[in-house]
Amino acid sequence: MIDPDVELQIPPKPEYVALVRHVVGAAARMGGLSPDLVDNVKLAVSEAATNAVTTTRRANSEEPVEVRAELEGDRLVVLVTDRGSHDEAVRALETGDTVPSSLDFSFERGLSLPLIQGLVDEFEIEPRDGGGSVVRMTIIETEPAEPDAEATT
Amino acid sequence: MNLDLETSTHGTTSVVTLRGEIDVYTAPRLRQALIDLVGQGATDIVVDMDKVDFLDSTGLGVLVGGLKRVKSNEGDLKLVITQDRIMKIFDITGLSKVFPIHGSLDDALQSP
Repeated sequence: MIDPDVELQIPPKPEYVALVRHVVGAAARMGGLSPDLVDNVKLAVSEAATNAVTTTRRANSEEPVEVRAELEGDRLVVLVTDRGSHDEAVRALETGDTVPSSLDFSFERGLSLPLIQGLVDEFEIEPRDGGGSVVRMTIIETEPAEPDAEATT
Repeated sequence: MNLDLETSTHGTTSVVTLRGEIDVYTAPRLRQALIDLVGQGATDIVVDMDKVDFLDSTGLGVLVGGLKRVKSNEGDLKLVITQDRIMKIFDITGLSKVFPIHGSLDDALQSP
């Protein structure tokens, strides 16, 4: 079994969310999660990272967003930490207000939280000591695949 | 990884063909493409997601925004979805009941 634990920091910029998704998705795959769950992990971590990046930018901060993924037995725990405003992070998550919109063509909002909740087994967002937020998501594997199996993704 | 976006016209229908990943970084380009189409008078739009590898809530939001816009002009925005992992996202959010969804571009173009 390859130890799939990963930890990375990204600048609070939208173009780095894809990097988070691919690294955490690869860790989930190496950890033996089934292809369906790997897809769920990639989407859930993208949503959380998008929210963290947006919240950090709204605080006019350049502080990095931190992402950790740890396999604990049959479950993958993903932590996404930002140093923006916790109240703003909760508000943005609940309203889906994650995209700065200057064009006359509104995004439908409020889709992020229901999506995350439909993808992961456990979800919580807590204030971080020293400011900001920590999102903790847990995905539980119920049908283990062969570790390192070729995924269809 | 990025998003390739092509628009074409089939009769009176505008088709947006997507290839790649739709997220917070790339969704604004899809939004702009839909704005441009609506601005040019398009009322019937098909968004072909056969080659979409990834879609998140910002992408969903853009599609819903596009649907609302064409609906207000008596038009429609149909989706071509061929992959379970993309369909799953519409099911979780309830949007599979909101969009007309087709299994192929031909099917989408032929439906009324």
